[in-house]
Amino acid sequence: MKTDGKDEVLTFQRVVDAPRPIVWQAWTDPKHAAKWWGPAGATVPVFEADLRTGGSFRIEIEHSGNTSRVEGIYEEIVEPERLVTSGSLTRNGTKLCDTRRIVTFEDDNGKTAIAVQQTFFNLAPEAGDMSGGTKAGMEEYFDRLEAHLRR
Amino acid sequence: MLAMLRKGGRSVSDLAEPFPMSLQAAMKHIDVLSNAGLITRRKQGRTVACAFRPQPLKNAMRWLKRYEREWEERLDRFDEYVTALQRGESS
Repeated sequence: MKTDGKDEVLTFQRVVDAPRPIVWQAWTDPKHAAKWWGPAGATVPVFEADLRTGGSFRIEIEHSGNTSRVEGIYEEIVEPERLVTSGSLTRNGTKLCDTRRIVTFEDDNGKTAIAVQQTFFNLAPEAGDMSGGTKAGMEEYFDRLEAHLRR
Repeated sequence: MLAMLRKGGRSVSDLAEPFPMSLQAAMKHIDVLSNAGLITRRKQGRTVACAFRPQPLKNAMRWLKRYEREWEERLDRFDEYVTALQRGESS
């Protein structure tokens, strides 16, 4: 991972032994998604989703005594192959970052290959330290530094 | 400047010296770094000593690592859920 203040990108891939329409439904339908969303041991008390382009979503995840909230919009929905969302991530009331996620689903001999690409913007320096305050995000800091350099 | 400070503490004028800018402009850079919590400043007689403070960067990296792990767990859960769904075990 880079530490130069540019956007951070994480990618994940997984092949699931199920046909694409089922995978799409399990991923996008709040009824299903609320049952698996979040890391091991997490519960999802809120999963509101208006699944259409420009529609908004709000998800709350309880995990290890922390409450995470993800809010955003569906930028692009191409059933059953591509889902693009953007939003912000807040933990225990402190905003950690803005995110954009591209998820693609491809047929793979009756199975489905899932690829997740997640980009983080404005990652707060205190993200790893939940007791931290509200310092300017890394991005803002580097923007300011760059602006200074151009003078 | 951070690269210089990683090698050890420097005074403000030492930090400014290699850059083609005024001392005043260099001070602005140092203010930004200080406000972001990436350096500390300490007065030593007539000079100000600066030191690198990597914690904010480390914290952000640590959080990303944790987030990465959480996503792997999420995909595990998804896999299990879809498998159960297909077998008709889930409502």
